[in-house]
Amino acid sequence: MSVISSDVIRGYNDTMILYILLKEPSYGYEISKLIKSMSQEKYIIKETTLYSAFTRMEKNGYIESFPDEDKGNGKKRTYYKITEAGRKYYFDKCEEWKLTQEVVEKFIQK
Amino acid sequence: METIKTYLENMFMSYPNTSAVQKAKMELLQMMEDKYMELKAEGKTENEAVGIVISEFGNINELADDLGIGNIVMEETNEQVRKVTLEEVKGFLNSRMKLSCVMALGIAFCIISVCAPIFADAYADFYRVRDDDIADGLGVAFMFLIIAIGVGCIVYAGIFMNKWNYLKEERCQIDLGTVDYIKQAREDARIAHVLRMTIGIILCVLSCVPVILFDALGRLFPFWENASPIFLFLFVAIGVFMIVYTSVRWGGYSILLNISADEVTGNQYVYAKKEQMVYENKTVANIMSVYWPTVTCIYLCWSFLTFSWHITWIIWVIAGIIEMMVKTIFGKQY
Repeated sequence: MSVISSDVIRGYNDTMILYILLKEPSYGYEISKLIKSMSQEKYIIKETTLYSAFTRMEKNGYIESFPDEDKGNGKKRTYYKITEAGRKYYFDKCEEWKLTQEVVEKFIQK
Repeated sequence: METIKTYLENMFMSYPNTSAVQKAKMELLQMMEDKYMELKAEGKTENEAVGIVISEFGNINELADDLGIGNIVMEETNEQVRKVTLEEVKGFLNSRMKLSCVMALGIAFCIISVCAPIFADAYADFYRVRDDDIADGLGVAFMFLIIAIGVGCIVYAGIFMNKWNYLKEERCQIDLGTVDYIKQAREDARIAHVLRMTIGIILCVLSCVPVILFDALGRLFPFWENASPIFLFLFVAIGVFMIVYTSVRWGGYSILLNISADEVTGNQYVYAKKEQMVYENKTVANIMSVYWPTVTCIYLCWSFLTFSWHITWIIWVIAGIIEMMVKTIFGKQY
């Protein structure tokens, strides 16, 4: 089985993170854990990639960070929540992916 | 967990310590800690857990642009960093050794200066000099003469020390070999430093003993009963001389080693900005900037108006205590 190259998936890290935040605000490790489990452990996002995505998207106004306590163990954490702009960006990315997939699909040997 | 922290610190080592970098470090550590805890809870050994966390950390360079480090790293290399050679270090230490004595003497002279009017006062009192204005005048004149010598010494030492100010103000760099040389030199000087410091402090503490003694034995030494503060100032002056002398020398090593205190890049040390005492409250800062001149003014006015030189010196003690209190209450370290 081949491993996903980080070059290819880079453009869609944001999409995955935003998808998770669509449901509810979350924090770093929880997001990385969800990405891992939802991809059936085929993709593990690196910490630096994740944090880089957070800072970039926050700068662009797609997400907002706020400090909060973990309900489980009361640890202070930085949580992220999606903004209206982030929601729009997410759906745009979905459209983009459908198109990309459609195009690339035509060149894949069956 | 310590391994992970060290790993993270090492990863960020060549980066400037901006607030964005600090935040990133904290966030990354939080994520790594969460992952580590969970792996441990799943029954992984310490080594396995640390191994997985580190292997999944990623590449630190990915963050450079997001944290605005790209620019800062460029700026840092553009800024002139002055290389300090071993010769310069030796020169600095040498001149500091010489000037420490001059500096300490200057301060000691200033302290001793008040002995002149005290002596004149006591002399006039004891021998019942009819025209005691002459005695007082002579005492004060001598006081200013001694102060002038003292201030001269301090200014002289200060001017020569200014030459080395760049070590404190500019960004400097020294190599590891020189740092070792300084550390060795400081170790060699340690015992002497501790001894001088101790003697100086003991002398200051004991300074009031002669006053108490002469007070008790007033009958045997009728003259010295009035003039006993002279001994107090002598003790303090010698004590302060010792303390200043050794502190200036010791401070030389500290200034040099401060250059190498924080950031380590390659085998070169780069100077990190030093902490400073600052008053946050504007009013307090303004008052404190004219504090000592005011105290001096009060001292001179009170003394000349009353000619009670044997009492007025207490102002210095009180003023010192007040300054300490203001510093602890309003001072902020930066």
